[in-house]
Amino acid sequence: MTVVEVRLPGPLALVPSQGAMRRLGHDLPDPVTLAAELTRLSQRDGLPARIDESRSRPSLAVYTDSCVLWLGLTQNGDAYRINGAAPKGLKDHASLVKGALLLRTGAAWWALPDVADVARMRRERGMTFDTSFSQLLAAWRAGLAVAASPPANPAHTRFLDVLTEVVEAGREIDAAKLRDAEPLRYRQRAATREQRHSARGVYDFTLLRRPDLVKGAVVRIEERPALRGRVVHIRDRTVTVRFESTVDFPAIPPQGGLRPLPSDRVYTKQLEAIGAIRKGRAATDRLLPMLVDGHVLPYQPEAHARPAGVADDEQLRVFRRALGVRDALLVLGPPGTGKTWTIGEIVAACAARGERVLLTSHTNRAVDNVLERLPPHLRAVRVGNEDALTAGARTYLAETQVEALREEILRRTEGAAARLAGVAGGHVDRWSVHLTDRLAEATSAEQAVTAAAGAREHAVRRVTLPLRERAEAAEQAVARAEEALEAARRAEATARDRITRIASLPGLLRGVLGLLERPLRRRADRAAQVGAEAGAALTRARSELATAEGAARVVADGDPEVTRLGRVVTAAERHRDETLRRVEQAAAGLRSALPADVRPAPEPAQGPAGPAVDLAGRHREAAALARAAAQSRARATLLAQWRDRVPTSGASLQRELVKYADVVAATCIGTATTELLAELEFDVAVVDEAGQISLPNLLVPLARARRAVLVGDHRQLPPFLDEDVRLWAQRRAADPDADPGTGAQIGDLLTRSGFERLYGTLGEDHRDMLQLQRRMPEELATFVSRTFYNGRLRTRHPGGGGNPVFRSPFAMVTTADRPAAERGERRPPKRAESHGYVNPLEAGLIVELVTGLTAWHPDWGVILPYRAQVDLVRELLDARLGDPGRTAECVGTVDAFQGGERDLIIFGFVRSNDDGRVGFLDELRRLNVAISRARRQLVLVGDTDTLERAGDEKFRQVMQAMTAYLRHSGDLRTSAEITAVL
Amino acid sequence: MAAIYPVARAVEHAAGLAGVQPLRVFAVLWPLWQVEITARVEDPAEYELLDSFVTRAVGQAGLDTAAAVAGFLGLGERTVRGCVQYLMTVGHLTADGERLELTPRGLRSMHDGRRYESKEVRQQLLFDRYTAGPFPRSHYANAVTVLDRPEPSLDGVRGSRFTALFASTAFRPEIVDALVRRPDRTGYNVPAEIDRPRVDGVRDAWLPAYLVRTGQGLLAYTAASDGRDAFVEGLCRQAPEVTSALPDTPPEDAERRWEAWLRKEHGGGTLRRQPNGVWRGTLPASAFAAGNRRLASYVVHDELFLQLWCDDRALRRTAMRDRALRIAQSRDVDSRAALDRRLGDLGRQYEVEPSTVDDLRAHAGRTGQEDLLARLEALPATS
Repeated sequence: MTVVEVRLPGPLALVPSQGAMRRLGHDLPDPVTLAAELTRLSQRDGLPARIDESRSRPSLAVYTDSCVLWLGLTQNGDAYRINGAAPKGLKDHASLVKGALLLRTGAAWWALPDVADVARMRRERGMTFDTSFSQLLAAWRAGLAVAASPPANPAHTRFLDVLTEVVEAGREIDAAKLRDAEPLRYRQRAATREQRHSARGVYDFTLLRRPDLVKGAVVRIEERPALRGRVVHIRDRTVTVRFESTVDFPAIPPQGGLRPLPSDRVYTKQLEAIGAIRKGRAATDRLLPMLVDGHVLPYQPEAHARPAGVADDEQLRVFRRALGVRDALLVLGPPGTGKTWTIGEIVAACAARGERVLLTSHTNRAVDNVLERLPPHLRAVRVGNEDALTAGARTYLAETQVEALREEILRRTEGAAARLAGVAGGHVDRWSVHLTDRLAEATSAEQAVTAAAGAREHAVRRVTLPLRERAEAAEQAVARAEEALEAARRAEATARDRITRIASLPGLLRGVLGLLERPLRRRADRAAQVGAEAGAALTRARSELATAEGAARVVADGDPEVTRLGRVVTAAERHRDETLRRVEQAAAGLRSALPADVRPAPEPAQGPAGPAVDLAGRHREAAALARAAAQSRARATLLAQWRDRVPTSGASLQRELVKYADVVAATCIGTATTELLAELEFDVAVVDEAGQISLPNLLVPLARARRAVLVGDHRQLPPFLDEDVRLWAQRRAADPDADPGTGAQIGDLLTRSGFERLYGTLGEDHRDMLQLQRRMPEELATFVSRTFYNGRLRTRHPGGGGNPVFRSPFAMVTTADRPAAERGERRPPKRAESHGYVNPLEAGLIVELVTGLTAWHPDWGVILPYRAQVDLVRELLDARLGDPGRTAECVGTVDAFQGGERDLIIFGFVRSNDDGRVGFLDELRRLNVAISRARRQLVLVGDTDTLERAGDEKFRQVMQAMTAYLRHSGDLRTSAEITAVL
Repeated sequence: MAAIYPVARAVEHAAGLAGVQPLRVFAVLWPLWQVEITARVEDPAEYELLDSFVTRAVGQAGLDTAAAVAGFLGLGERTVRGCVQYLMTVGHLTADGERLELTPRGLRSMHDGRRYESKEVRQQLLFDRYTAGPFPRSHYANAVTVLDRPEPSLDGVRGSRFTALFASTAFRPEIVDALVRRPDRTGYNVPAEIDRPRVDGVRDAWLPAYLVRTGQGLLAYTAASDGRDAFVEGLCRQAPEVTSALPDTPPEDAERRWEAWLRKEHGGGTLRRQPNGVWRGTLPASAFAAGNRRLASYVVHDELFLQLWCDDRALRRTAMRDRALRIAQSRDVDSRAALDRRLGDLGRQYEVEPSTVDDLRAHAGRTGQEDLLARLEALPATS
């Protein structure tokens, strides 16, 4: 509702027209009443009004509670004519809601019978009426231009809608695939030797066919849908499943089916993250501005921060920026540039200054690599699927830490618990009671002493009463004499002082005042004499007092009653001392019953004479001991409850460990799927392998963190894109009804990682690149740098090679010297279950190379683009080397080697045909990953003929450049040559 | 979800009231202020394990450093420091160097066994724009939709175009203070725990309502209540700006318009005026062959309404039972007693003897609508 307030100076004049008068005063109020109503409304909440510009002359409509008046300007323009009036109806409400002016004025509306009255009022009363119509018109037009309520940023909303659509499409496709698929039939189930972390059942299922399952997938027994578990291990046809709860083994059918379930959790969490961002509930409100608008916040790098270890220039710069950035920093980390180290330093520094860090990545291995290198004084917790972790990382798991913690707690508190059990067991209470009783005895003994001494004193006084007067008189005489002596001494001193002062005056004054000297001297002498007399009197009085007191004593001592009472006093004192000793013993007993750490300090001794501590001291001591006893009782109870609760509070402890941790580490999906992180927000998220994470997955941790540091390489492998999802996107983009922008946006969301998207759009201050690589030999690095990193990589490397076969660390063996039939690619044999292609010639060559080079490069790896070729090479190598475990580890596809490195890397291209068809080899990023794994020697094996004729232009260019480079700075050999050498 | 039930239901209710002559019905959007307030409350959360025992170690066992607590509980000092840091963040502990001490909130929490955390709560409050009066709790129920914009047509509500009502009053924050000071404020959706709320934003909002003009006054119907909305009726009495815009005379051209409509839609029909002034159009049974939902219910055009009728008693009984089964699914019918009341109303509306639950069961069986019985059977005797 657009409501524009307008203040009018007024006053305003209304002149009803003839037409209006037909209604005013009849079925509608008369003009004067109306004017009063208008005035009331204008002065209170405002008079609603609208302007109608549809006619040639705009008119004003004003609304009272019950009717509407249509007004036009009079000819002079200084008054309104009421052109028409009607009762207010619902239509009027609706119109006002669409847009209204609210007129306010401190002045009044006047109803005048005739236009002439306007001038008359001016003449006679000096009133100038003002319609302020132009002001109203201007305000009305301005109000119309203003939108009723600003809509939420439409670009942001659209982006979130597209994202939601992509996620939901993915979920649907996933669910449909699993729904439509046949369950995986198994013919046998068995117990396993799997390491147990709990009582949940873990069983092996032997399937009829090799499954297309990934570790971590959720499956359920087809015939018993309630039995659900997670795939822990897949070995050929045997699948190990860890069930969600303790399973009754006989309940599992001996033969049956395993149905993989859609891991809906991931999609749900992605949608939750999107929803939180939409509602503004994410930990940061910078995500949409960054992703959609490319807006970033300015910041200062931490200029003086230093990592714990030694950093190269770029690492240092990245480190300082990461500590200072307020929204997001993107770090491009090409192979071998020390990403893991840099990330570790950033995480440690952020945690050290009190930030709560979320360490996350695409794979468990990347997370664990950083986690295991963090300094031990940081509190770090790993969250995730226990089977997917390294042994080292597993110790960081919340569950593991809690286990260890529980044991440790019970062990460490055992001693204290035993000691305190004595407290609870009553020792302390008994000693306390004992002490209280002894103290009461001592108190009454003390009272007895006081009473006895009092009685004796009373008796003494009674006996010496007659002598009292004499003693009192003597006391008074002493007092008087003391006073007199004091006065005389003062007088003498004053006088002598004056004499001295006069003596010290200069001559003339001395002469004048010297006259006073003689009287002063006389005064002084007199005072001295008085003093002497007083002194004598004092001596006499004192001796008299002493005599009187002595006499009294004799009398008292001689009195049998006094003597008797004196004996009573002595006995009471002895008894009291005895009780005090017993108190001392009781206190000592209580003190030793108390645990050492609550024992108060003992009371200090009073002095050498009498009992070491008097009664008051013992009371204080008893109070302190009582307090200590209460505390030890409280501790005993607390410790007992603690030890009781700890064994069964695993869940609570886990949640707390995570809550109090400095660093929480989990994969992106892991952050989503665990309940432990439910309410937690992070100060910074550090994301590794960000180039491999799709945007929906990335948003899950980012929505929980106030700022982020993303480290990745979008020139290496992109996020995995399910083929069905890609087809869906294509169909969607091709849909004639679809908005073309949306189709493009969807395509972009699916093919580019969030990292790549942001790296291109956020500006210089928010992106950086590590440039010093230490893995690859220079010859290889230069090629990689040129091809993939705009030549920006530098190398620090001791040098590669080191085998007698190749002349350069960057080498290739081409099969182009063989006839087409020999070097050509084949389809894999039917019995194998994998897709793709094989190349037997290449496979053979590779086996020779491995066998020949392994002596100089024991740390080797073979990377092949096709599973089928992997299987073939493995088979051949097993036969040759006889170490199947090793071959399984060392021969694999590119994905298996992502993030890893070997001294020797052999990469086979496999494709060899007449048409230059290379299939997905043209994904150059995969090639980048494959060849950048080598630390000492890279050997490529392929048909340069086919490769240099490849259909894809970019790939072809790179291949041509590569072969040229190899000829020039590397080592390009034919297969025949190599076979001969090996 | 539809913002409000269809207007025919409001007319049915009004027409069924004894001594009432419904004249016109208006679908309006009543203007409100939707005020967002924030306040801090001491939210009692459950203690976990460490936080509870660290608190008690400091507060009851006289252990006043992290090291001492760690030693006592057998924990690593790092872990205890993490917990201490957390407790300091939520204001339960303070530290003077190494010495730890419980704050008043910490002490309170320890004694009550609940970890109090100061949390900011936000909620909406609704005020009528004409009277600045707060809306009662009943109008905050989930079933009541309050709109952000004065949309003229609301999804799910067939045929009604809602007119937004205009109010020129300006919002004053004092009305929130006045509400918070009321001793009965919980009846107006302000929880007792909220202390000194702050107004964080005010926006216009709209409550869909049907106002039925009768010879005896205005009746109001909203989603807040099954029958009449007494609160909104009260607002009407205090808002002459609204009531003056709603004509209070019977429409003069109703007869003519309904005759024309009957001819057009059904090729004829008998138009009769009921004792309570409501127009009724009687059609032959064949008119309801396709469906009997409208039989004895109302067609509403603009402010006018017409009850569709059939003299075939059996047909009316069947239609009533079908309707009763549908009503039994509604959320408002939450007990046998409520259902019985509705059955009685229906009997009067359809002018046949009211059905019993047995009648409904038999009817459902005969017409293959047994699935509608499930909820009915599960109803408790009283709500």
